[in-house]
Amino acid sequence: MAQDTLDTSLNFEFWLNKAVAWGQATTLESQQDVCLHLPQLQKFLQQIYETLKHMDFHTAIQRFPLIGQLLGRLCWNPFVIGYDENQKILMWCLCCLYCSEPWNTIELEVNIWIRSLLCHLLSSSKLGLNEVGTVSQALGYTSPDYYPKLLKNVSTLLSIKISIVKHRINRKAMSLLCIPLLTLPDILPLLEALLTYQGDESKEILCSEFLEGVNESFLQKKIALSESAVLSLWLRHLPSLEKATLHLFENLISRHRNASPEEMECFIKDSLLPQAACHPSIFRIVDEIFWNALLETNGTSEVLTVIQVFTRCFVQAFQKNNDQLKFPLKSYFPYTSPSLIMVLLQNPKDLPRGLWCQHLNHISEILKKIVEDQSTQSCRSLFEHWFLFIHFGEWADIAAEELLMLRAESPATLLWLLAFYYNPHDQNQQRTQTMVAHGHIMKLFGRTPLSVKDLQDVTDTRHPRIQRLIRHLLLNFLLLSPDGYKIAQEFIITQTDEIASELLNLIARITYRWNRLGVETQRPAKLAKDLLQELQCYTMKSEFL
Amino acid sequence: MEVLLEQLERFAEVLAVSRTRHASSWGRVAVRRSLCWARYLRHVHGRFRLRGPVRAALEGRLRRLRLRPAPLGGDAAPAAPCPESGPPLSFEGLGCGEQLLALGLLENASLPSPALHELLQRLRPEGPAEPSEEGLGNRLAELARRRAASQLLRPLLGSGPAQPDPVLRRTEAELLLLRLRQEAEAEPGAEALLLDRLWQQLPQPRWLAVVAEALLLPPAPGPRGAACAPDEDDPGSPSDLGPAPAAPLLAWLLSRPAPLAALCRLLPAPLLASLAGRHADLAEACLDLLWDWAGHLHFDLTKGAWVGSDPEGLTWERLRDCFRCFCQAPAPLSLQARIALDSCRARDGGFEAPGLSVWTDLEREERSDDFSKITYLGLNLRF
Repeated sequence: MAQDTLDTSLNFEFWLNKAVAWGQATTLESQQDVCLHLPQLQKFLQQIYETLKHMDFHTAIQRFPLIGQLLGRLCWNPFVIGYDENQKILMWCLCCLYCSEPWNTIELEVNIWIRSLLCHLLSSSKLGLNEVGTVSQALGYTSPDYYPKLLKNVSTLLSIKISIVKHRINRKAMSLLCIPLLTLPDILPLLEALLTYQGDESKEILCSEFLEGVNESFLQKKIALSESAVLSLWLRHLPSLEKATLHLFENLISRHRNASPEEMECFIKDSLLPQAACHPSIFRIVDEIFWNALLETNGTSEVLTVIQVFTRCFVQAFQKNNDQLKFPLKSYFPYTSPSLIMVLLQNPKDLPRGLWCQHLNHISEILKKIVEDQSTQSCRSLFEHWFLFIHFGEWADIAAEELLMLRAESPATLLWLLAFYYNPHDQNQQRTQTMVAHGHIMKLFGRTPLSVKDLQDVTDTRHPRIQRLIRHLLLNFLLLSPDGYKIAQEFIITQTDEIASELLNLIARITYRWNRLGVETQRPAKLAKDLLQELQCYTMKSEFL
Repeated sequence: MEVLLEQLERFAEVLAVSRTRHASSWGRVAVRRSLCWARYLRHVHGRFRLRGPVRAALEGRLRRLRLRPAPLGGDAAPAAPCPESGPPLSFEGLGCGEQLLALGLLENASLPSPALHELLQRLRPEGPAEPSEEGLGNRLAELARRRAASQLLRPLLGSGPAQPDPVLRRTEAELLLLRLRQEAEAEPGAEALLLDRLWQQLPQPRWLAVVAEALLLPPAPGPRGAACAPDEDDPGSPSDLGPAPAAPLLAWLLSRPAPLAALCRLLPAPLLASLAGRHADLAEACLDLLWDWAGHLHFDLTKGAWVGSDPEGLTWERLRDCFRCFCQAPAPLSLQARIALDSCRARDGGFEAPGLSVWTDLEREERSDDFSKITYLGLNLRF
């Protein structure tokens, strides 16, 4: 507690000095400095109010002798008043200090001062005719009628002027002035005009604090920018784009851990990133961030799902983009073979189900050829192709399913594909191992009664590299075989938390795909849904304990 | 219903008193009660906003209140520097009644400290407020924020102190149209009275600029049905005013010779031309007036120019400028103006030599303008 009071006192002096230095924020330096400090100032004012609200005037003066100077100076700084909630908090502070029954001259004067300051903040009639205008007064209107209209007209007129090249309007200064006002809805046309204006200048005119502030407000959903304005923002200001992507990632991976792919799709579409990514430079940057995430997390199932869903949203946006300038696909994936891109881009929904296997074989063929050419290419190229495949990982999921549904003519091809999905290198060594594992799983089909131990035997392999592949196949088995589903839940519970959540993620992805593609699977779908629900409760309980 | 109407009357009185020195007798209870009424009437406004019998009844009562003589003997010279007892209360004003009341009390220097203290406590989040009272502080703060925003952004529009501020004028024009609509709803014919009063009260150039702006405001997209709820924050946007908001203003202007004459004499010629181009009735009236004035000009041989008999009246330069702008305006105005010139010139005798007929000389000016335009078109000397 003592530390708190000490902090506030030190801060008080700091802020009072700042307020004195800023004056009415008429110079460029003072304006920039104010804009830098606005969020902290608001926090500080909130602290002051929390302290003041229990005090009367005398106590307040003893605690903060210079409070009058601070409040007075801040009230005359339009940058401070225009920001977020500052004006509210300052108003509250003034209301606290007002003496209800003034006994002496000092209190009387304080009251008069507070009243005049509040009038300055809120009303127009004290300010002279220039501002309100004799006409408005004669019409009998006051500030509540007047200011919303005035601001709207200012905003509209400025946004018109911005778009006219001839007009010598200082866009940089305007962007600085808008910084405190970003969350005011009346300013929105102005923001849009500033962001979408295309000038001849080679350097960025708008100040970076403005661009950062707009991005921040957009990410926190405090302003509703149009798609073109957001696109323009991200094209101009790389840090904003990076922040937006990371923000999305954080939302999907940490804050909404248990989001289903359907919910993820909503989040992703809301973020406007897929739509913006139709611009190749933006796509490349977002993709780079995905790549890093993949490396850092060692390719966990959640990240793979995010990339998959994002790519689906991106493809949708790309295909919808009919009238506008369409970039060639190569610009999005410049280091990969175009034939691979084309074949992966094929939407399974547009193919009859019977042809899926054939298509998978085709994909496998092309990938194999590229991989086996690896001796002439770099390691990087291998990973680029693998990363491309990850984007369209849905085909890998379909491969696993087709394998278990026994529809594959040549399971070896599909197995190769799946193995590549999980481990892009070390091909030859793994091939035998995967075939063996696959063999074991297929044997499970005939075994009745099926026990958890049988399943554990399969997964308990001396080849840790193909663990995930085995789990993926096993899961499909559990969902699709008539005996498997009975012990699915039992089996999953016996796994570690990490593995359990990986399996849950897989199940979510599978149901998402079934729903999307309209696959007819009544029992497995119901099973999957039940499993998801039960296990999610279970995992949440165990986390709790 | 009668209770509601009575409370409405009470509140209107209270609002009027809050701005005068009679508020010096108010105490905490009075402030509390008046805020309570304001809040209640705000809810009433919210409920009955869409036109209906209740709203009509409320408006009727407000209308009658206005016609009644002021209960305080209309003292307009209070000791405290506050304007006349505020605007007459309208139905829409009920929507922000609390804010109007609060601002009135705040600006009133004669309000005693305990009363103001009561008001100020209610602006704080933990003031002795019921949950429904929340928001007055927030709304006032929003006002402060908007004010700061205008203060920050207006200088960018680049108009100096000497130049008229287009944003201000536009806002005033919108407010004028809003007020006209409110008057028309209150009582047909009241608009004309208001406009007469304003004409008397305000400096002419200012008033004329606002009138011109109001007449030039873009028309509304279409008539709004009763089913559409008007915008909460902006109860008087032009689109809400219906397809012909400026009609009463135009009617007033055309029926009052003095303002019309002032308009033709004082408004910058290009602006007058835009106005005339937009409203055909006005174009006709202006042309008539110009024709009339031109008759008062005679050619002074010693000076070699047309002069007016009345030093206050129209000058040759003004006449020429007006016609020049009219002829350069888009059709049909330019056509109208040229036809007028031709016919007047013909009526005068159809002379070609300068100095004989004012119309001949005007037409010569137009022709030389056209000639200059054609010759210098390539050099882009037209502004």
